[in-house]
Amino acid sequence: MKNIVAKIILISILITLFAGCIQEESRTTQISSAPQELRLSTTTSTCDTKLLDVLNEKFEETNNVKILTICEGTGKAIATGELGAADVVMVHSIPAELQAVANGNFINRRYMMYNYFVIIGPENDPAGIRDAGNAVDAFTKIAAKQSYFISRGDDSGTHKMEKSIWNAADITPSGTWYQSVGKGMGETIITANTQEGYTLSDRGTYLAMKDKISLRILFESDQTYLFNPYHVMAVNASKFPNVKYDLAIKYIDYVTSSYAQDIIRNYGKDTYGEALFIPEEDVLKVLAAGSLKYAEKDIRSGFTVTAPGANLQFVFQPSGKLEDWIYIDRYPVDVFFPADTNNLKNLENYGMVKEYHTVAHNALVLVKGKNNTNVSTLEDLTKPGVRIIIAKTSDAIGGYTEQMFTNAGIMDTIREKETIGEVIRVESATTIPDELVKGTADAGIIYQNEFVEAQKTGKAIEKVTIDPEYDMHDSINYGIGIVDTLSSRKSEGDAFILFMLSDDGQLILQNHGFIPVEGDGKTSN
Amino acid sequence: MSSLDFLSQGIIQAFTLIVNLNPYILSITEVSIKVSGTATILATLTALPLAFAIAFLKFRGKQALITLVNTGMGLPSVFVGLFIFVMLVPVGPFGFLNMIYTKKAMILAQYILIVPVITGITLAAIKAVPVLIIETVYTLGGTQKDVVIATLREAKFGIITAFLAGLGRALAEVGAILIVGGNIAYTGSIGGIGEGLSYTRSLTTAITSETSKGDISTSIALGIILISLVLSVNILANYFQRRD
Amino acid sequence: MEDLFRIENLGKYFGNKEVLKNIHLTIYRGEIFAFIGPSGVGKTTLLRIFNFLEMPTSGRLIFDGNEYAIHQKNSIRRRMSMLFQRPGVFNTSVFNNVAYGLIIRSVDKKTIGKKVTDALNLVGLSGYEKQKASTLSGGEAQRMAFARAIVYQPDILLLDEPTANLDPAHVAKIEDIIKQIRSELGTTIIMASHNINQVRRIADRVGILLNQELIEVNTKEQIFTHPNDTRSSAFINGDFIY
Repeated sequence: MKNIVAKIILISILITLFAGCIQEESRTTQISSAPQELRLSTTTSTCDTKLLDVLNEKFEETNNVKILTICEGTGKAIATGELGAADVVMVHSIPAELQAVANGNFINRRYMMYNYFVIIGPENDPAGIRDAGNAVDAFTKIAAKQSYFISRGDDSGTHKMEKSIWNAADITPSGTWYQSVGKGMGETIITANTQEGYTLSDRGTYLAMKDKISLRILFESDQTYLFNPYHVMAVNASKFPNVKYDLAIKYIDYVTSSYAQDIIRNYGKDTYGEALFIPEEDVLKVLAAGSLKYAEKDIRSGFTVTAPGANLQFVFQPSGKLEDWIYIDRYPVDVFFPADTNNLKNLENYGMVKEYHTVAHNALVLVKGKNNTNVSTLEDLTKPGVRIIIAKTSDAIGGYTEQMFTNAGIMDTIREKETIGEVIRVESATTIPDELVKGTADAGIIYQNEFVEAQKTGKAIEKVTIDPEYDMHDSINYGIGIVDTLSSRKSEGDAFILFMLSDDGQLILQNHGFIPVEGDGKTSN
Repeated sequence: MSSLDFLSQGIIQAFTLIVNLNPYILSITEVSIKVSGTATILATLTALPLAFAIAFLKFRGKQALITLVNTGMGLPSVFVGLFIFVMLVPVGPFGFLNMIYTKKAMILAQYILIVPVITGITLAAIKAVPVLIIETVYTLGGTQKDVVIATLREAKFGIITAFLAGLGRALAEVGAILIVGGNIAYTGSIGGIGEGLSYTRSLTTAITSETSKGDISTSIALGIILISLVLSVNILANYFQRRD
Repeated sequence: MEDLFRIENLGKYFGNKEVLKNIHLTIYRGEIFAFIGPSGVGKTTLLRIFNFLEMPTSGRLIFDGNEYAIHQKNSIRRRMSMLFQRPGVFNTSVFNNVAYGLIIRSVDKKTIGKKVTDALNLVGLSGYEKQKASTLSGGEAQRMAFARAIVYQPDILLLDEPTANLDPAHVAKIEDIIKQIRSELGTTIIMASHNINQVRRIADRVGILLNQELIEVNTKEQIFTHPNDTRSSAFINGDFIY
């Protein structure tokens, strides 16, 4: 009796467990007529605006696919992909995305569309943010007045953006006025509406809910802090062999195709009078070396004069990384503006770039802490006891630095110094000025433009004059060129390149510490 | 708009959706019934012999099993959801089954939740059969097998009540199936934009997300259907309980 | 007289308490044998041991010449039947209740139909077949229990205070049924009762249980007129107040 009963119980449990498995097996081995399923994990803002329903329809038809959309915040969406429970991920938080890609969990990250965040609140605006100078200022006003602020609190893209603004304002929000609800955008807006408080929302979701609430947009024009770009990326198939990688790539290609971009361009115009998102196609995309980020504002305002309607967006990353994005990921780009013309040369060899120009030079400067008396010449670096701080060769400037020392004939001594610990190597040369101020070392080598920026912010370092022969200004060549195979805005891109090569553009670069080029600088063709 | 307007509009729109057999809402109802129904049937297949074993058989570890069943009745649904999620996620031990975010995973989670419920109530029903009946069977020449059959027959209505209790619990459950099912709907404009047919969206999980989107009339419609289902199950259960 | 059922040296402990000892008894086929004694003395326990609802701590049971051990309890029960003070009524029709013993013995439907009709007739419940057994009155239910118990013609019918809960009209009816069962079916009846008058009316032989022992066994007439043991007469005369 016992055995029979035990068997019955076990069999019933097994039926339950394996009924699921068997069905799943047949699901994946079925070919032809049955539609495939693609799991898209995305944020609540893309879901709640219902853009995806319109966008995904054509893709589903054409490819006989059913898209299963999992709507959660950006943080969760990325995590879902990292667990292998989704095939493709559509989110809006660049640092989180880049981290996830660096971890090897996603590949083929592509820019898809953007809009801006808006700060919404009660019509009577108790904190007076309508007059704020920028988003950081607006948040500061809210905190000062202790007006209700409702935070997503769910690690979403919106939440991360909100945190970065508080960070920039140097405020840690706490108190009964700051409420973290841990929910999606729609629900957060409703909560803010009930509390008559402020919240940060993406424009799309706000517009979709406008009729149901009494909150209004009180602040919106801040291109730095309120910029909200959406990217898509595929889950790495080598980590999860069961993900539908090919289908994910197809989907990514689809959403960046002209057809889909057009849907995005028009979505919302009928219902809300304006589009909820702006397709990346409408953006003049410049992928530029990180060192150029200080010059962004000036370049933008300068270019707007020549091309008033231009929608210019920069992505600042190390040049080598950008080259990989372009070549390997086919990242949407119009103009590539790296710190080394070789990056462009490589792309030319791959047939992606037809012509490029040298647009500026940089140089190396020897700097020391303001009150340091140990170093007054390049040769002083060889003195025993003098501590030097330079970049690792993984950063391009590290290589240039070593070249400089070799040219000056002091490389061997420096190497010896390194063995006795008098040479500090850092990952990124941008940290060198602060270290010198702290007194970690006596002197270091940084880019000239970094020195100019350091002076602008009043850092306590000064330049040591060295023979121009050794400052590498001929060797550090910034390049600029259109990526023909990926750009859809070539004429606008040409206009931008012409601007950067023009007197106005060159002046801007010079003001930020770069060295203008002589002649027209054309380097190829 | 006043709160009375807000409510009455919501309710009116909800009834309109139901009467017009809105496909989105229908597909969600179908998922709820399929998932909870299947889970309850499967759970009954395990719970009945389990209750029977505890009631009639002697074996080592019986007390431990009873404790397990009692603990099981009080298991928080999100805990079961978490457990199944961790097991089934592709990086997890059973990831190769590709079961995460499917109805099968939802059935499995609900199965685990309600086996103890059905077992517990069935056990009580069996124990409620008077010793007198059991001894009568013996004295009439019945074997242990005959006693079991007679007990099950006498406990028939109690067992039906157990099944319905399990079904009611499954229909009302939300935490576990939200986690392992993902509340996914297909793309679509079948029920309206943003309202494609349900894939793993049940009445309870849909109410959660529709409310957070501010789509009150849809939520109310779903709520009406849910409460009707649960009420029917409870009325049936009551009926059978009284016939006992 | 044929020996049908012999009990040798039966003893029973419930834990540390000895409730029965030195029980020797022979039951003859076809007789009506009654146990009497004060309440709680162990009459019920003894009957339950006969049906193996309880296990004896010591002693032997010999049925129809063969000693029966515990692992054979199913086969001995097939030839016996038992009634309790209150009947255990199955939640189904009267017919299904009465037919139960035949159903589990895999008897064919036609035969079952006939035997059930006969049994119901004997107990005066003809026509009650379709009624739900749970709607019967106490007396009717007990009569149904009788029908159920004898429908498969057991050798021995054990009765534990069968009329204790019934009104006098039913008591008389049941006593008639008992006598009829013995005369028409030849069933041997062993009953426990503390109703001395009932025993006087229907028993052939009587055994007196007192202080865990069977102090006297004799024919009805002898027991009530010339008991051998002084304790017997004391009991019969009601000297023991319980």
